[in-house]
Amino acid sequence: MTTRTQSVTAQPRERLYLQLYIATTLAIFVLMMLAGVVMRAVQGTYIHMSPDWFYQIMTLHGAGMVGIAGLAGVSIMWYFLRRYVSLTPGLFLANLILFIIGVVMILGAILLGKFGGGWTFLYPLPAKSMGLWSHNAAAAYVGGLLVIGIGFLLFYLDVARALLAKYGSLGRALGVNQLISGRIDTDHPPTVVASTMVLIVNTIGTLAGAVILVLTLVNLYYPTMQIDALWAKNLIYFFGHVFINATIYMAVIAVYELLPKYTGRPWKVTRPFLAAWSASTLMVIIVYPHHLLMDMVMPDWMLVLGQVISYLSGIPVLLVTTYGALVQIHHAKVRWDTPAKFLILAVFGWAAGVVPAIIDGTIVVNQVMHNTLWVPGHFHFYLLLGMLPMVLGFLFHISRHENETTKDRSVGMGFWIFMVSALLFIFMFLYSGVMSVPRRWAEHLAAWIPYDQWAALFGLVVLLSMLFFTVKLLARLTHIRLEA
Amino acid sequence: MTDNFRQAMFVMLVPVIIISHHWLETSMTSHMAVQLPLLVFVGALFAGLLQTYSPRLVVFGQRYRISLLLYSLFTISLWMLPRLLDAALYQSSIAFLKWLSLPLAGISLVLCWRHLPFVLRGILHLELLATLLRLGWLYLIAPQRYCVSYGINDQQQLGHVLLGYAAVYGLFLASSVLLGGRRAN
Repeated sequence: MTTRTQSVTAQPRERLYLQLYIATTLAIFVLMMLAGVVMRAVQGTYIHMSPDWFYQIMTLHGAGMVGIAGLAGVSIMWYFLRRYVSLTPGLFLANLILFIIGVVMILGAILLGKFGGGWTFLYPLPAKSMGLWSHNAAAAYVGGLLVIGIGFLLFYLDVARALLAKYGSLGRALGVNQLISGRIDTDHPPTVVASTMVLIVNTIGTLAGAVILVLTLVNLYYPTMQIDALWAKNLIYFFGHVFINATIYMAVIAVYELLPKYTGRPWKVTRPFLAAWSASTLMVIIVYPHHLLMDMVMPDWMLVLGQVISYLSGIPVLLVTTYGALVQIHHAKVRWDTPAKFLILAVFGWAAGVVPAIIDGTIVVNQVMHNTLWVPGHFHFYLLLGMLPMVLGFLFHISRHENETTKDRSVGMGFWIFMVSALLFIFMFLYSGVMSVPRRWAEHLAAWIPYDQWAALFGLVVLLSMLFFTVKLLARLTHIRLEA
Repeated sequence: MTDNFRQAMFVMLVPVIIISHHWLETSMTSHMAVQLPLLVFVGALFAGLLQTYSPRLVVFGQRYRISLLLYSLFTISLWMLPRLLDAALYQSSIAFLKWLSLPLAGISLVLCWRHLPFVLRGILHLELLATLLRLGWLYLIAPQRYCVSYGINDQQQLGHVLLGYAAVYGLFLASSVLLGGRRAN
């Protein structure tokens, strides 16, 4: 059932597409980090910038980071999933092309059209800019998101085709039949399980996005068509929540596939593993109301659902992954090369980042903390120290020379600098949140500025270390192997 | 669906649609959400029967799959416009076009469907689902009526029905891929 269906012989066309993905990913990650550091420097009064520009950069940073995390996740999922099922290279490329077209539209909307409504484009803000941007600029932003969504949908439908062709149903690919029958196939690939979960949740999320994005467009040009603002917010946060969560669930495939290469122990599918992924498939879909805990007009049962599922949602997959990673390294002769270090850091960042997220998912805390810098603190935690290290570990692994034995000391040092500076950068967010510093404010009170200044400095170090990794990885781009 | 069942459905549905057309056209909801889909469905049933008796149609469908798809998508999209519903009530030429073009759209869709790649079929399924949701929502919030022949309450009722269709269709799609049964080609 789990025999590898594709030849591991490197195919130049697929390799080229992967290289294009990687170059795009690294370039946009660095640029978006630069935008992030600039925002913190503006708040810290190191740089002067008008609030209009601040909100444009904030929109760019938010949309850009979410998008590029998705693209990076797709490259990891595609890289490993193609070993088990037959994927279409043309659709992998089509996703990248549509992504770039969407990015150009979004850049035009923000930099030329001055759109600064935040990545959330919350209704009715796109249509009510008070003269700051035009309807056409808002439409270009919304249209760009739509184009990007279509690209991802093409990729996921190709994944669905391949999984259905091999396993007959997504339930079987997810391992639900094994859970029901009690006969666990330990050779069932974790990559297939994770990919199926991502396919299910992200297709539903993209569908929700496609509905609200088109209705936003309709409202832009036909203002008499007034959307229910609460419905709009629900759909936007459902779509956004699922999409950003799926980026981690795609990237974690790198942990399942690569960590065993450094520990010498296979990552086998177990009953708790399958149960965790099945449970998370449902919970990722229903947990999104925790983004709306401050909306007192939401039905009470949905808010309670948001809190309860917040406690439960991250735990299953996180637990099996963290436990699995610990089992991998416990008393094992681990080869602590750069990829292994990044992958273990990623599991730590993901696990630790969930803690402030769960705290914010508690209604009584959320009512005080949600509009503070605590929130960017928690999502930077599991994206900057969870998702990004998964991507870096993956990239450093697949770009290694086949017989590479010597360690690059500069990259090793870069790893520690990145880790420490990222931790400090994140702690400044969390500490600012504890000190009640509001988020999404272009200008801060004098008492808050020292936090911003420290954050800007730590952010600059993170940016420089990422720039260093980018240069190293781009130099190794020609070494990338599809069978690594 | 067996041929006998298909034949029985076809023989039963055609007179039902013809006899009930006045009644179905008295409300925007039954006009757009019942009569128009039934006309497409009858065409689809007829195409299934035709393919059984004339295997050359399979080759025809394969050869002209893009044209057939474009015709059916264009026709179905056109009949989603409320203004055409009005026109079909008052102009016999438009009514004739409705009775001709929609069954033909059903025939075209069935002839080309099996020759379309899985990903394109997936896009069409999801786009139909999204369209039902978007149109249903728009009909609910539209501040004025879009058909002079029907009231705004009727229009809002249509919105609810389309959202209901979307829910059923979404459940059907989800169950077919989650539980499976057929393997994608």
